[in-house]
Amino acid sequence: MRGVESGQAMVEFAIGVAVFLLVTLGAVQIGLLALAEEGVQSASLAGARAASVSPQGLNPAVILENGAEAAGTSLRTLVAGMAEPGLCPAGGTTCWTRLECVRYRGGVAQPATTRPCSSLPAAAIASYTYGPVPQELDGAQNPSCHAAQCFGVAALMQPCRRTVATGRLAICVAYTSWPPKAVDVWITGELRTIIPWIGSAGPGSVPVSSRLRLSVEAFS
Amino acid sequence: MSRACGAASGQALVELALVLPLTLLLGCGAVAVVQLARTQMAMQTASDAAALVAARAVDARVACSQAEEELATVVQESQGLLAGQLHNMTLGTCVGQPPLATALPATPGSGSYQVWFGYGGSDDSFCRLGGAPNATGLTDGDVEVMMAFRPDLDWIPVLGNWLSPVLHASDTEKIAPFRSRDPSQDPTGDDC
Repeated sequence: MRGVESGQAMVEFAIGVAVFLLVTLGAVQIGLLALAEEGVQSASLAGARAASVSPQGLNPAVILENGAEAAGTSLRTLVAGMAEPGLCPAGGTTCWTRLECVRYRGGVAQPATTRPCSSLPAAAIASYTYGPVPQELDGAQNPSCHAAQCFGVAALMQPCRRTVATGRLAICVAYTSWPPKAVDVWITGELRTIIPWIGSAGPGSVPVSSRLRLSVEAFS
Repeated sequence: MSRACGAASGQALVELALVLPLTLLLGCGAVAVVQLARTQMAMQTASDAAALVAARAVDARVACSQAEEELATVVQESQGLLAGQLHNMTLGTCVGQPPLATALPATPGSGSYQVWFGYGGSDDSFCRLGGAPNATGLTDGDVEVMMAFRPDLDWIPVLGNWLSPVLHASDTEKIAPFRSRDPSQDPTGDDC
């Protein structure tokens, strides 16, 4: 009889310890996740801030890349090792150097004028004559946008539309229109967790997402 | 034996009856705290972004409209309680005395914001349209955005009545001096 009671007490003790540990770790995890989410929001603002400087005279691909890099730098310090930011799906910054520009007239892209943004002369950029091709714009000029307000339709946003692997964060930056009025920044991904947590990418991960549209600096 | 068994099962039931509401309350409280934290973050991001675009605008009028637009956009995209529960964001203004106490949201689920500018020089179009005299903490050439929001926590029967916090967020940005314009260059006289 005494042996049964002692066994029962041990089982209760084990359950109690397990629950206590789970609750404690859960509380720590909630705190870490809240900090990481704040970090993602701060990073999206840092990225938008860098990407929304006036592109007059500056290559649009370089400014967008600067924005993404600013967000990436901010994320590395703020997500506490729960995820690694990635600028491009394949790593590196090749997706920015591949950005193509086209000649615009009255907000309409002119056919057969496409060329790499990196090869444009400064004068063509300063006058907003050339800008990213419509497929790279995150607004009504993009043929994929069928509504008044679009977000995430640009080809540059593609990494953020897909499910990102656990422990990875995708950073997507695109102009909403050309001439530029605003930049869209979307940071999305899955944070690693220390307790079993069911995320869309599987157990042990929590999805996080921050979307921001910031007006581009204007001069008159 | 059966009496002891009945007493033990009664005790277990009492313990369960005590533990279950406590667990539920703790769970609801944790969810509410997380929601409040996310809302606070969203508000801070909204005011940061709004202050930034306002400070970059060419004059106070444009600054006001851009700040309002930016706030609306970030609120729309935000997570937490802000986007889902914000019935109206009122009292948006770019002039006058700053005390936000006059603009505190009274009803749950409502919010308010204010945008105002510190005094610049006599040729400062920001100053002439939106200068806020006696604005505490504001110096020349500042633009400040403040938000207040009272979350609707009625979904937690106990905590909803007990917790009725008003969340605040604000950010101050410096207006670039070259954006101020000389009134002599203002042919229409509308300060813009």
